[in-house]
Amino acid sequence: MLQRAALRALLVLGVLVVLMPAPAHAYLDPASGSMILQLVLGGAAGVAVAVRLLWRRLLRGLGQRDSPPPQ
Amino acid sequence: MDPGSFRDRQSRVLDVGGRIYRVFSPHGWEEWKALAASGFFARAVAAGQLVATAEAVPPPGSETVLPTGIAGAVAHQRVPFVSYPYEWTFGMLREAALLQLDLLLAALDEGFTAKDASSYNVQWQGVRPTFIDIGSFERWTRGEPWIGYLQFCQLFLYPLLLTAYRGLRFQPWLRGALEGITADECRRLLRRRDLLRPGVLADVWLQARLIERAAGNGRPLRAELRDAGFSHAMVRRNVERLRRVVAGLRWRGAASAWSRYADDCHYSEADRAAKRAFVHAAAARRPRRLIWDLGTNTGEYARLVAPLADCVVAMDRDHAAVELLFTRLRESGPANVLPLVIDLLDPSPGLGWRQGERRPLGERGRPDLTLALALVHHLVLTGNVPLAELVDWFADAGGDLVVELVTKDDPMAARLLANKPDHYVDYTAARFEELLAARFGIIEKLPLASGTRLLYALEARR
Repeated sequence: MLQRAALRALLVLGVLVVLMPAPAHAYLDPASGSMILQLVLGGAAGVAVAVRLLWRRLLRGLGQRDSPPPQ
Repeated sequence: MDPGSFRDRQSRVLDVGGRIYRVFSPHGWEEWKALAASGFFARAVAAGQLVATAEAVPPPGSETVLPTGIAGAVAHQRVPFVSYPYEWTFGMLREAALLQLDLLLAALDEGFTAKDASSYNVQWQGVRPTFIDIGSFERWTRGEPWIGYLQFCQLFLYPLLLTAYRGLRFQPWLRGALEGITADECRRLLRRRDLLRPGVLADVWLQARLIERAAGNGRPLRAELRDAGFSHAMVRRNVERLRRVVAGLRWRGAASAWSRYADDCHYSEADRAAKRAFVHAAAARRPRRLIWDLGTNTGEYARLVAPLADCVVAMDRDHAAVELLFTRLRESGPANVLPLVIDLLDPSPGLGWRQGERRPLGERGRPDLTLALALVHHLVLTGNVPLAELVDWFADAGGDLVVELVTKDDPMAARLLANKPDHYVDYTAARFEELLAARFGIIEKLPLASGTRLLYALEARR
C-alpha cells in the first residue's frame, strides 16, 4: 500500500516536472491537463503509459537537437 | 428547435407538435445505430436510466438543422418538467452524478464511451434521474482518455465537494456559470486541511495545477497518449474511483437543519385536518396535468395532491427542506413529485447563448393548479412584493389557485414584522379578496379556527 502510494507520488512529481512551458492564456486548452491527470489516476497501467510517453518525448527532444531546425 | 442542444455537432433536438425528436448527422446516425444495437442501451432504457427512445420519421423541415444534412431521427419520451442542476438539491446532484458514472461504466464494458459529462444531460421523472442525451455515447476509440472528465468535475464533483466539505450552497455557483466551477476556483474555495479528503488532492488540486501548466502548449497530447498505449482499463479505473468518491459524499448540514422542521408546526390538529381536506377538495375539482406547489417546505401538500395530478413540481427556497422532501420521496413516493430549490423572489432566468440555452422557470410548462400555502406573508412582509403584483403573478401563471393568507395577527406573521416598521397597509384580508376577485372566480373561502389563517380556492378566468 505504502509502496503504491510512494510510486504514485513519484509519478505525480515526474509528470509535473515534465510539463515545462509556462501558461499561455490566449488559447486555453484545459482538457490537456485533465488528460495528463488521467494517467496518474489510471493505476499501474497509467504509470507504464506515462513512462513510455515521457521516454518518447525525451527521445524526440534529443533527435531534434541533432537535426537541422525545421524551415 | 431546442435551443439548448446546439453544441452537439452530430445531433440536434427538436420539439415539434409536442413530440421530442433528435435528428442526426450521418456520423451521428452511425453512432446511434451502433448504440441501438448494444445490450447496454437496451438494459439502460429498460431500467429507466436512459430516456425511452425509438426511431422515427424525421419531422418536416428538419433536413437543414445540421450543416451536414440529416441521416435519420429518433423520438424521445417527453420529460414531465424540465429542471436544471442549479435547481436541484445536493442529494439530487449526487444521484445524477452516480447515474452518469454508472452509465459510463456500463458503456465502457461494451466498447462505448461518453464524449461529455454534463449535469444538464440528466432530467427527472419525479425523484428518479434519467439521462436524456443519447448523443453523448460514442464508440470508444483506441487510446482515447475520457474527454468528459473535466466537465464531470466542473458540473458534478466540485459543486458536491463545496457543499459536502464547506457547507456552501452550490446552486448560485452553477447558475452563475453554465460551465460550472473551475478546478482553480474549487481549489481556492477549499482549505488546506481539505487536501486529505477524498477527491481533493487529485481531482481538484492536482488537476488545477496541471491545467495551469499544460494550458495552451499546443502539444498533440491525444495522439501522444494513443501512441503510448492509453487503455480502456485506465478510463475504467478512474471512473470507478470517482464513483467511490461521489458515493461517499454527505451533506451533514442538511441533517442538522431537519430537526427544526419536525417541531415547527404552527397548526392545531383540527386546523391541519381542515386545511388538508380543503386543499384536497380544491385540487380534485378537475383532472390536473401539472401542479405547482410554491413554498412547499417539506412537501406535505405536494404529496397530498400528487395522486390527483400527472406531475407536481414542489418548490422551496430552503435547500435543506427540499433535500428532506427528496429523501422522503425516494423512500416512500409518490413517484410524480419533482422537488426543486427555487426562490420565487429570485427565480431561474434564461441563461447561456442568446439567453435561450436554459429557459426561465415560467417557460417550462404552465401549471393548471398552483398551491400557495403559508407563502403570501413571506413574499409580501419579507420580500416586499406588493400584494396586487403578487395576485397578478398568480393569475398570469394561468391556472387555478389555492392560496392561504396569514393575517398580521398570526404569531408567525408577527415574527416577520418584529424588527421592521409596518408599512404594509395593503396587507389585509379585505384587500386580498378584492384583488383575487378581480382576477379569479372565488369558489370557496375557509377561515381556520385559529382565526388568523384564511384559505381560498380560486378558479382561473378561462
